[in-house]
Amino acid sequence: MAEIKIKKKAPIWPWILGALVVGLIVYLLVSNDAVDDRDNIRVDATEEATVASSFQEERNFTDIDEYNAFVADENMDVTHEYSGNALSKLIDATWDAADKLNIDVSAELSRAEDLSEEITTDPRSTEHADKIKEAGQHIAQALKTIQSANYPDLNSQYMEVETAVSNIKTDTPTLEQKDHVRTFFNKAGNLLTSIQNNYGQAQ
Amino acid sequence: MDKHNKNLYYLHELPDYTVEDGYPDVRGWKVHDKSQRIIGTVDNLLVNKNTERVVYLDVEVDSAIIQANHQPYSSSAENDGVHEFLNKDGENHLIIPIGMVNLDEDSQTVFTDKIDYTTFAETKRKGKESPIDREYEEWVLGSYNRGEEYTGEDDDFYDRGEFRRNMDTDL
Repeated sequence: MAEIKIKKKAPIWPWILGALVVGLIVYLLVSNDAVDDRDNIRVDATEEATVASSFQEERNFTDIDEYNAFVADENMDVTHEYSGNALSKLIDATWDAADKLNIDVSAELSRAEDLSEEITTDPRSTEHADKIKEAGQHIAQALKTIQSANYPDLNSQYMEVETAVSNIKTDTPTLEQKDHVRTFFNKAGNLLTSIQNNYGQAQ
Repeated sequence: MDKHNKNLYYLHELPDYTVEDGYPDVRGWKVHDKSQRIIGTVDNLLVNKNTERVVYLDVEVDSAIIQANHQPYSSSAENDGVHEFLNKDGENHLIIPIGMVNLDEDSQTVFTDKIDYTTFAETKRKGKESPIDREYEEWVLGSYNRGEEYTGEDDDFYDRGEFRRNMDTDL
């Protein structure tokens, strides 16, 4: 004879609850990924902006620009004060280039700074041409170090700087060889400008 | 116990319950009498909630059974000729104790070797999904087992052979 038993159905609410929990977990995971993606995009954008800003800053040779602007003014007479200021700005510009290219030229530039300071503090000294030439030689040596380490193609420009320095006569007052002094300043500015323009393409 | 036996439920009245795995849900199966004549179709299951088992098949009988127009059998003389005891229009269901049938799952058929066509025709019927009371149960069991007296209270009523798998050994 037959028999049929019945049973209480398994409650469905644990399954519904489980499905809701799983759904919630999936939702949180997906939303977290989306947030992370957005954060990553923001971070990437920020990093890119920072790198771009840093690169822009690195390309910004403020001291070189300032020096070139100073020596470009043909109306300024080559006085002792002018020579002192020009040397000081040329030294700063050379420091600028050396720092960015991570080259140590501190010995040459420190000596040049001392000489520049002497010219500035004692404008009546008769040894100005000597000091300008000597300072120019130290600066030229620093520029040679920078140029030869990274920009061998700029050797001819360096040679022009060296020639300009050698043309400054130690036994002639500065005021009588203004063109030689101005030429030196211009040639040094040209070399620094070329270094500035080729920055990031170190050879 | 109330007049209506509330330990007895149509299965659809218990939405939290279902037929247990391994047992067939015989709703929709044809029901055959002792001579293999179809007397109706299982329309519902009447279950005892306490014991969690089916105790009756609720069968919608074929129109031929109704058209036979037999007066319901009653072992009690006091029911003879009583108007309320006659089958009324629309009363086309009867119940069969689960222990009095066999199930053929291959053919999805319910059959009994204990109740003949006339007995079914003479059994008091009820309406679809009508409440079942103990009095009706006693009438039905008395019809299927003529000469037997059926009385009982509570769920012990369903301990008798007509509701159990090994009915033959108990009778």
